[in-house]
Amino acid sequence: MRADGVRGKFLRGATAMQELIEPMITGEPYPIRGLVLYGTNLLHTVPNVPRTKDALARLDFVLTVDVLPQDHVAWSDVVLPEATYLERYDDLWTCAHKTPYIAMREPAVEPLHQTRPGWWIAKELGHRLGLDEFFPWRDAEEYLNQRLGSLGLTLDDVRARGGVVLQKGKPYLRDFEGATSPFPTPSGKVELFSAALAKAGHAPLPRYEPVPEPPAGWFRLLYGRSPVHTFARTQNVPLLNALEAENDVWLNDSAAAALGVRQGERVWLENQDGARSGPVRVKVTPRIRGDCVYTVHGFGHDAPGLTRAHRRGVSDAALQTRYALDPISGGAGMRVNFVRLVRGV
Amino acid sequence: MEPGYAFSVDLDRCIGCRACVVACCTGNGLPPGAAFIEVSDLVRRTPDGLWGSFAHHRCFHCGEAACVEVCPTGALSKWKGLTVVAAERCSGCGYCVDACPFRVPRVVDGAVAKCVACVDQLKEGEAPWCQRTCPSQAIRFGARDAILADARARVLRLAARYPRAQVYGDTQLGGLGLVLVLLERAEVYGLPERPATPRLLEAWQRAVKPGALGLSALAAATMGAAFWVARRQHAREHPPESGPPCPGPSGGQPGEGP
Repeated sequence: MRADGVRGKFLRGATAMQELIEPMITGEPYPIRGLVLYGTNLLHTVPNVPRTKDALARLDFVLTVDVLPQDHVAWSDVVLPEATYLERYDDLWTCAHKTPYIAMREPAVEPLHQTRPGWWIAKELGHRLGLDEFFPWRDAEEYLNQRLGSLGLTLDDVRARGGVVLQKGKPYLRDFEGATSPFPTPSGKVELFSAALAKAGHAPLPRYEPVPEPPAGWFRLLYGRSPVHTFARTQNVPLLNALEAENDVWLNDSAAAALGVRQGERVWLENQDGARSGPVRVKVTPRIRGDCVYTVHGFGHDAPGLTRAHRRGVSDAALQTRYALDPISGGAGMRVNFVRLVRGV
Repeated sequence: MEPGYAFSVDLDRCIGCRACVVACCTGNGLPPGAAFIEVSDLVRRTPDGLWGSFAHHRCFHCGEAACVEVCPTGALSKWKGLTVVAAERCSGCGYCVDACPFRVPRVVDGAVAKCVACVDQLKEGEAPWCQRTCPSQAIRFGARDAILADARARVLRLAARYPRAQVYGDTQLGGLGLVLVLLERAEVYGLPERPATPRLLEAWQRAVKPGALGLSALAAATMGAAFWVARRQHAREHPPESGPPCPGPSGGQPGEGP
């Protein structure tokens, strides 16, 4: 049984990551005592930040491997600083869509300071824990050559092709005639009406269920992306920080006029549970409905080590103390929080 | 105008990611925030609903470049249709800042800062950094004839969706070396339909520059005459003596460092 409920209470899905936090607090369905965090920006990825901090405080042991001193790093017992992607080998990147490809990543420069590549950290931890048998290779190059060998390729071959080996794709269903369909459905096609879901007790067609509307004076908190930043991990990069150092909270122009809020004014956002984040600049715009506010995800970092991004803008994750669950996949719907603007703080 | 290079920016293809801005910084060794390209959001409320696009603020490489006309040191010049920069010759006078119809050049740390057209890259057979980086192929670079033809073809294809789509830069100021595919009238993008050389520049060309040249010539003539008089006086008071020649002002070898 999985603690996140996938393939248990949820029918389908990869990982319902936010569902792993509650078991760390309750010990149900089984106790979780330690956490190894790698490639996870825990306090920006998982909604309900106060609950996550509660869980981190209860764990016996937290190990973090990260490139940057992200917010959750301060909650760790042990931090192993990783080299950046320009300083390390990584596993092959394989993609199976319209144009399948295999891509490699190799170091352009030596790692700085005492950082180490992820593969080195994993292998050395394995060695110290007596798990050498799971790392039967000397270094990343040997590992990658071994993997590529099954295709009759070497790292040098991939390098010679510019780091990417492209394959001809099979994007059409007719490409699979006489073979197994790429869709794991009873009909072998894309199913709009799913008999399998009906059998499992779910609605066979997606069904709209009305959601609670924000009370007067409150706004539904929406979030999204800017094309400049990637998730919550690039706000401290000097070149990108110079372009977008902080996010704005978008407020409908009529709503702003009714509230007397001006363009560029700094406000705090407070949600229905009293969680606050900010201060954040107001962007008055006709581009949003009057009952919603919007902000770009990934700002409002608490970690002082992120010197440029520290306390710049608002964190949507900090204001998502509640979320809705998709009963089929366990996916979290996070646009269910209501916030109000707090001025003059 | 001699045939040369040109850039184009297609605002139907631009996604506003600002990768060109970052590439301009890293490629030209500029510090963060000092790129020669600015990209900003444009949003308008129209009778048909909301309309949005992006505004690219960067050197237009004018065919008749006011900045080149006023530059007193030759730091700005035309090369194959592009307005290129020799920053080491710049005195930081800022005449180009006032002369530019598009308010593009700035003076940073005592020298002109504007698009250098990545001339170092062109001379190595590479394209400018912004063009190489653009993920949506909104930025193009090449022979101006081909760039202009491509831009006109794009506008024809866009006409059904954007009836006021237009090519900007085909004729303005002797033909611009940055051609824009606009989705709306130029003024919506904050661009003058018929950009003009500022009156100040005309005044400069007609009066101040010839006047300044005259003054310079007069000053040179005065100094020359004064020198001639002084030397004659000196020679009269100190007749030549035999002896070793005076040592030069510097005793070091050329190229010797401190």
